[in-house]
Amino acid sequence: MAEKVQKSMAKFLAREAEEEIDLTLPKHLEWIEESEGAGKRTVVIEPMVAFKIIKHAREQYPNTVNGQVVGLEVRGGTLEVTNCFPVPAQFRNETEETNYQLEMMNYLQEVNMESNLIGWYFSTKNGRFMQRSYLDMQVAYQESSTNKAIVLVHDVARTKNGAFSLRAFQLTDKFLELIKQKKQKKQDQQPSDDAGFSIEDEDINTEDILKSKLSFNNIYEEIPVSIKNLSLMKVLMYEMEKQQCENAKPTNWMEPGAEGAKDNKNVRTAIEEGGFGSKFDTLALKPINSLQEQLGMMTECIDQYIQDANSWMYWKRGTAKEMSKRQAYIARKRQERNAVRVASGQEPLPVPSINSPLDLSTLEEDEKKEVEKMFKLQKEPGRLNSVLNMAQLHIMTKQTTQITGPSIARLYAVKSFDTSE
Amino acid sequence: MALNLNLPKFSVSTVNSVKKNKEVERAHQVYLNPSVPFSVIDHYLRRNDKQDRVIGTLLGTRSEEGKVVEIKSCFPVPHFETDSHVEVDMEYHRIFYNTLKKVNPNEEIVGWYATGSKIGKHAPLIQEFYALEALPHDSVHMIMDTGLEGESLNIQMFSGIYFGAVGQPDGVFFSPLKYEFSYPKAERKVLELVAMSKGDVSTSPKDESGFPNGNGSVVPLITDMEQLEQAIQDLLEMVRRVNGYVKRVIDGTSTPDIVVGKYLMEMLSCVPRIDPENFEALFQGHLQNLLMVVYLSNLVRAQVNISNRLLWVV
Repeated sequence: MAEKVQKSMAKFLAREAEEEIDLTLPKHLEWIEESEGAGKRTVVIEPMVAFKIIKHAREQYPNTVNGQVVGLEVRGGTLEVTNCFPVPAQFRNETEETNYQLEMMNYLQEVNMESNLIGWYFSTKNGRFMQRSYLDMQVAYQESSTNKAIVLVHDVARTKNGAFSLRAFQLTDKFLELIKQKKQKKQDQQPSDDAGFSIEDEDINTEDILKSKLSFNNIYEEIPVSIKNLSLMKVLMYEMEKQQCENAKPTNWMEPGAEGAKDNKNVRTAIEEGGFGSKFDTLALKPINSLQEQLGMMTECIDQYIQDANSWMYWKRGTAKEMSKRQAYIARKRQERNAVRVASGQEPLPVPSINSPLDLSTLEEDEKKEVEKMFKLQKEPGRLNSVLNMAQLHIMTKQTTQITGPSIARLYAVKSFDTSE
Repeated sequence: MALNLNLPKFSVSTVNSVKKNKEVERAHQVYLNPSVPFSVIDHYLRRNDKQDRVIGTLLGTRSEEGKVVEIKSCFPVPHFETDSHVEVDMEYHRIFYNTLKKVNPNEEIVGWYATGSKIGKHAPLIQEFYALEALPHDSVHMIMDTGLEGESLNIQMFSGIYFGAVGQPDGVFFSPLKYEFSYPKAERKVLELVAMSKGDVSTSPKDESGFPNGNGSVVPLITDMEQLEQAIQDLLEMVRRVNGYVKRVIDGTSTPDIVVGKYLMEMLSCVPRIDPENFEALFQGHLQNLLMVVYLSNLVRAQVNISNRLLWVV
């Protein structure tokens, strides 16, 4: 019975973790739904790449690391990552970094490895990767010749506490388009030879976000990752397991030749099936430290979110105040002028009503200039960071559910174990 | 520039002169990171046409006295060999090593690998070279039968022992070394994933156009939940099996085994006995905590969704 409960509970939570909270969308917002359905592209990595990334990340832990991945694109949108190499954390300048990359590529080519750069990787902790620096980097990668560049995110903390975590992302076309427009605009405003414009936070405001239909869940697009297993590697796996089983004989009770060696076989296969001896790691009722950290980070994000919201509200209020000032000014001005016009027998100009917002386009040219000069509007605070922050929050809440789900299942497992005895 | 190792007289004499002053520390125990054989396989699969052996450098760390060696990574080195002579691209080896050092200054050269079922004909020459590189320590030689000539990969480790007259290039003999795989936690998880597909005998799944899919199979990454589900299922299976065995013994259909019995006794005595009331309290407390966390995080997620939609209203 308990087992049943635990199973259905587990299923429920697993589903919960995968799904969005479902609110039926109004018609004009249906694009949100559409943009969430990712294409059928996949990323296939070789085990060697996984090992290399893990090793690099572990050796520099708790610092985060990054490196580059090479591979090839197969028909049907599959990206095969066949190799990767780490990038040292400290380079004195950019030329040095470029030189290092070129050198590496040459070396790989010389031993028949693919030398086709298809993206980069970095390590992170507890799913923290919605950050400006990473975003900028990915923009740079996807804007270069290979616009299919991917970024692999390896989560060190999650790998430590759960399953191996490696996710692949790509920026959506929508976001790239927006960035492109913004850059173009910037270049038009201040033409210079330097093509390397970077997009600042304040460049993207609410209007842009509305126009480009950007939201927190369509900046990045996640691509499913699989691991490739070659036949020779399968042989290797068998041999590693064999060797481990031989080493794993802890006591002499399993020595062949002992009485009832035939029945020993039962136990022995059981141990062999244990594989690398860690499959049952996940069953351990470990303290959920990661959850604590996760919640701490979530609080941080929420604080950040509130701060963003407040500064936006502040700006909104300030703008509204200036607007009403403008309106009052225009109304007064017009009334004065109307008095003159009526006296000279002309049609009176319309006086803007206090109740409806002021529309600048209805004003005459000189009036417009005047109010703009007298009542300056502040620039809207940039929205990109807050959108990223929201994306981060969203990811973290999802992850919390993903972490707690197994924990609850584990609890029920222990309960059923305890009662069944 | 490829340095021809066919006439390495000077290098041998250097090794020997150094050895005279100080005995080279010999490795006793070798730990092998699983990524190394995977890299070797990759290198082997990418070998040149008509080349049947590949070699490369092993990198890793040593304990202070050099008795324990841990091989952590490796990189391929181009080489060319015929029956009578061998060329190793030493420049490539040196430059690549220096480049890698920028990322990971702690790793040093601990030896070299080659593929094949037995130690190659030119191994002594190459060993001389790596012995020089690895000074003042010993260099380890790993061979892997990637061609499956012996029907197994048969990874073997050797350390070189020098004998014979000074300047005699084949004055080295390879003595087998014990080695073990080291399984850091994160690597183990990848291995488990890979292991999930190893039972697949249908080696080449075909894509739509009928091309063999790189003669391997592909495993998607799994979530924590799936991993747990699998572990629980495996555990249940094991319990069932033991249960069956015990039942059979009780029924008398199967001969009892004292060793197994003792082991089971030991197992059962490990199970802690918690008083039910206490357990219930602990269980409920923990469960409530977790559910609270889930609730709160769902709340936050709902908020995020709402604020996203609100953007359209403003």
